[in-house]
Amino acid sequence: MNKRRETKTVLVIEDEADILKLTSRVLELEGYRVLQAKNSEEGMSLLRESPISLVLLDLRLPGCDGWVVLEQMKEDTALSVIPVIVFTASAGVPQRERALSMGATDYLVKPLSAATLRKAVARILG
Amino acid sequence: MAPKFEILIVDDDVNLASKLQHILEVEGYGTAVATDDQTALTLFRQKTFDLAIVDIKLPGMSGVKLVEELAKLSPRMEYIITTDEASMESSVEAVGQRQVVAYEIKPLNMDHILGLITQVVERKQAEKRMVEYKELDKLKSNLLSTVSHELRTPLAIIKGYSTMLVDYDNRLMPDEKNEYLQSIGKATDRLTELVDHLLDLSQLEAGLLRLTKQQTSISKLMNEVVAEAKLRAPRHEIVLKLTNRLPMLNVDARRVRQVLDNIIDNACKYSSEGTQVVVSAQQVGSELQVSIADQGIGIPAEDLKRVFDRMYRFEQRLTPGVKGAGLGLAICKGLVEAHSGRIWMESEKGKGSTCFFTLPLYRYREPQL
Repeated sequence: MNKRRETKTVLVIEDEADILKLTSRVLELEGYRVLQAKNSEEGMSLLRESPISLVLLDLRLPGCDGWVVLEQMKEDTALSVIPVIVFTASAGVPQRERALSMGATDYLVKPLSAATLRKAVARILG
Repeated sequence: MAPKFEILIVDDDVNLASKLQHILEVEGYGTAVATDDQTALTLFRQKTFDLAIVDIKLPGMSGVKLVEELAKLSPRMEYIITTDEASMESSVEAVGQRQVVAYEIKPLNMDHILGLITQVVERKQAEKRMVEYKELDKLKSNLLSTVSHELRTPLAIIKGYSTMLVDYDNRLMPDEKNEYLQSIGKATDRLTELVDHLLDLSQLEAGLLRLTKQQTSISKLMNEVVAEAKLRAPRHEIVLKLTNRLPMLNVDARRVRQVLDNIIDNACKYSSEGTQVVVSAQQVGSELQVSIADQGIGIPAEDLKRVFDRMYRFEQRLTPGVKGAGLGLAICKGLVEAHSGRIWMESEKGKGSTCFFTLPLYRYREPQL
């Protein structure tokens, strides 16, 4: 098990309780530290308070949606260097292109297996 | 009935104006006549016109100035400018491109003018249809996007937990595993419900839904429905009020149950725990009238009809935790109407809402063979 993972914190921003839970648990089992947020406000607030190594972002959040998080992160010098993996239930190519052009590092379509998730995170954080 | 196409005739030649008016009215257009600029402006402020036929040589303001003024009041109005041969060029220069359909030289060719107007009418109708199609398209797009999301979310839960249970089997606690298995079960139910709803809706829209009608005791049915509903929503106070002798109904019992379940679940979803949901039924004339009243936050008047549209959940921003795609009431409407009944919603903002529906009573005797 990669010891360095203990020092990496992943922020998961997701409004579906079950999906938030299972995503966080997989990451914990893989040795990462996890922070959770149910919406974009909570997410942005955590981003500004704590050192975060990776953001997992659900694009279809209620209220101000996930795209806004990408925008705000891009505009902030400190936050713009943090890698973001977006996940979403929409498979459209335009969505994918838009996410990548707005600074997302990777794009995953739900439903995901635990393996797909851990591999995507490992590719970025090791 | 489609609203009339309204035409304003502005000409100081009274005879010509009358003649034009008569011809246009015969064709079915609405008309108004102004023989000077001030009257034209007054009429214009009182009523909406689709087209104006304006004489460039008006006393007072002059046709050019009038068109300028009218254009300020209604930028999308269109004009036919009437002028004489001598003034044609200068008229065109003065008025320019401003929404002018044509410059007509006097003496006027009535057939030509009628032809021009028909073209304008057709063009405007086509524009209106485009706007409607675009709106419909947008609704369809939203619908697809919402359905896609609603389908993939439970699938994501099922896939996520099931792969976890396999990959991390020896590292998970038994109660965790149990919890995940239960979540998989619930997500499957959610998916099943959505699929059933989509199928029902498709059938209803294609006119393919078949009802299996039978003689049904509505009191028995409603008692059963309410008993089950209490189990599903134990924290709500669900009350059944039936008048004593309700007649038999010739209905598809399964579908009536579905309608009741759906409306009651809705009432519980959109009202707080501890509040009452009152289910009642009574005979009103030749119909059975059922009502389900909740003590929720109520629905604004302008939305009362829209709640029966597919995917309509106006309270999404107020109730973000509420799951579901919002197809339920649309299906209820389809099922009630398939029975030749009516369904509607009444509400008082802040106090609650009541959903009503009617079903025709069973009076008809099967012919004896």
